[in-house]
Amino acid sequence: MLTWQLLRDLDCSEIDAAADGWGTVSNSADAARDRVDNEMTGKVGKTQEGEAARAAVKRLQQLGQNYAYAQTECGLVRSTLNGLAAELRAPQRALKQALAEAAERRFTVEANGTVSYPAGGANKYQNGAEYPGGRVAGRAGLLEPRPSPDGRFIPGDTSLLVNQNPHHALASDIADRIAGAVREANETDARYSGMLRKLKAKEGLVVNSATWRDAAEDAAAVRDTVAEYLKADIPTEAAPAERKAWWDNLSQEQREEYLAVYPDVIGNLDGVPSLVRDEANRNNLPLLMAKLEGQRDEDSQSMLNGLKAIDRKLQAGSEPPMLLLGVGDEGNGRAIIAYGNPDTAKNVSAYVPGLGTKLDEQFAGGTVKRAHDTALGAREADPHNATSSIVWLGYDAPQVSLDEIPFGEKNVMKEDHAEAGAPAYNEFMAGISATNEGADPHVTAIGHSYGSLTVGLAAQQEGGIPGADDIIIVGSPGTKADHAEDLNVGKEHVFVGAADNDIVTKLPNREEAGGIKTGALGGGSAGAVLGLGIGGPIGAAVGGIAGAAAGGFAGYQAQDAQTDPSQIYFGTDPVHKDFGATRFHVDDGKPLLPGGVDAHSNYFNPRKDQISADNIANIVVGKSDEIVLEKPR
Amino acid sequence: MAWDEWEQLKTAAAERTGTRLNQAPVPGGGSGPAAVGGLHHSGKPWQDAAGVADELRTSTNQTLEKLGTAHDGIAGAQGASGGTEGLDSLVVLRTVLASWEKRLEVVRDECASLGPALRRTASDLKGTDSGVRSQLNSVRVGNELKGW
Repeated sequence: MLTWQLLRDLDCSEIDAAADGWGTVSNSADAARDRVDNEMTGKVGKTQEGEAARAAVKRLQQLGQNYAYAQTECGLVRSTLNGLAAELRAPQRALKQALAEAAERRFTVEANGTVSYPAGGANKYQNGAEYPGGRVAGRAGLLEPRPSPDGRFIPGDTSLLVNQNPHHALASDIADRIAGAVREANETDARYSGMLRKLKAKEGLVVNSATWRDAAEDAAAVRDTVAEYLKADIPTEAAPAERKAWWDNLSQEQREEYLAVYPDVIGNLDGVPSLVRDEANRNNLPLLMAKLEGQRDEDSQSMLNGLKAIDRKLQAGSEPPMLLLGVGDEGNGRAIIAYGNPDTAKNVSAYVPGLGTKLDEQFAGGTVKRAHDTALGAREADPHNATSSIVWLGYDAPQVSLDEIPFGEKNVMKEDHAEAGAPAYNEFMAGISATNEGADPHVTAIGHSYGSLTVGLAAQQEGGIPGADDIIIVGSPGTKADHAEDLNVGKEHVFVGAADNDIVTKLPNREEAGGIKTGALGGGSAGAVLGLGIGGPIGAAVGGIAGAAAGGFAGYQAQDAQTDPSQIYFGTDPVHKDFGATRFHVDDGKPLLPGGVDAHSNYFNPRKDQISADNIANIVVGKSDEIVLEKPR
Repeated sequence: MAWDEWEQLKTAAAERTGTRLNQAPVPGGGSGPAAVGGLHHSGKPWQDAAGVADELRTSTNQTLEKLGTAHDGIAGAQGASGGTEGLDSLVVLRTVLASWEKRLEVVRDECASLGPALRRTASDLKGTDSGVRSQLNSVRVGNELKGW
């Protein structure tokens, strides 16, 4: 318990020094974890096989986890102590000012905080004699009654008896301020005691999901109880370039505090340098996984599996190196993954995935691999300049399931997801422009499937996609643009690819769709194919649906002759000649029978569609003059 | 997507084979891989890892010392000025400090025991693999047997 004397003598710099000590532990644990992961687990795990290696790797992983745990928790202790020192300084200042005023007026502050004042004033009824001096105790609050000078007895309301000695009012005020400062300091002390108590290390060497769940709760508690002031300063509403300037101007210690307390915010803040985002998100990953582990519902578990798969990829390492530029559990989950650092790359591509994509194991596998394929292809196309290839899942893509048909009464594929995603994508791209250290990086926006609508809408916003030089659209159901010119990069910089057997690129226009449904054969429809493979009971349904869809497709194509051939689901077909973009060559893919929607998912894969993957890579590295063309529809 | 999933499986399988065929030489040379009954061993990664374990033991110990020194001015320390008396939170901080010192000591000791264990593995490439495992397994940390 602080008295006013202890508060006066409190040396907050000692608390700062202790905080620095915890910062040192957190930083060196971070460095140690990197060494364990890269120089121990990575190397022994990669180059060795067998029981001994597996046993060693497990033990090394545990060591790495220990350092990660120490980094997180000791970083929280540091922020807590910094908060404690900062919050104690305010009442200490108030106390010292009150004491200084008391000294100036020759009042005496007694051990219990009671202030005594000398005789003063002039009593006109007693020939101008001074009113006697006295003692006054501080109140426990401004609305509380004033205790007697010994601080114990609280008399009844005495406000009607005005003390005529002018010193009395001043002394009362000073006594109140002294009591108030001490009270505030003790409340702060109690709050921080409770917080610190949570930050004790568990015994032993085990780090498991329970450990991380506790750590996640600790981080939340630190945010709520002691570090609110940090969050208030994060420029969440500012433009990415301003955020970059904000980050650049922080001291090293401030940056470390933000990373320790708000990894989730910093990791997803467009404009913060990519390596910092990567570190923040890696720090946040175990906390996020622990949180999801505690939520038993199916969606959380599927998201958790996606995060686990991403975590495994991060641990395993890759070439070019993988950066986690964003991660979160809002909506269907968020994940932004780069192969190659976009801040130092000459070429940057950012691919928006489409239909059925969400943060799950499939995303971490096939979808992320597309960005990796593009990065590898780009390196081959231009070995002299670094390329960063990104997959951006920063929005909720429509989750269309197998048995949903987007025509007629049920319009399951609407623009709203893309409309919500477009500004978020543009903000991300503005962040890339802000953090890229080169004079003029070559930036390519890529949209696949429904993601091409997101990219298309982003491009049609005022000013277009920030920094984008070229736009690639593959497997597109339309972009809501009538003409390539509308995408704000110049029509000669819009490149489109569509496999002839990719039914998504041939869907009838939404407005025309009603009539088509009845024309479809066999009860299937082109729309059914949209949902194929996007979830639901997969294995059994594939053959049947593909067959039905083929029937529908045939039926649709027959019908389509009666409608405007340039119009597909979301407007003008980007590969139609009326759109005016450059169509690059892709493999036709397998027909619906027996291929299903295979033709919709090969564009990035050099093993499935070498020519498409090569064309994409060439455009990404700025060699669009070397692509192989195909005649527009 | 189902198709993607299928692709993934196939690619994963292809990559597995590919990795083995294209296995890069261990950077920095060292003893070449010795294939014993399908097991690939190379001494160097183990030796390197052992070296890192030694360094981490030292650095973790230094970190521990710095952490202790940083609390010299906090109430309860020998020779503390008395400028931090009266705060309950700093009494709690002492217990937090003690808990982390203990944990970091366990981590340091784990590094200390990993160094020799990894080195033994490196030098014992001719031994049976399960024999090596039992060596690693036998390392005790504190009062717990660290298994996996």
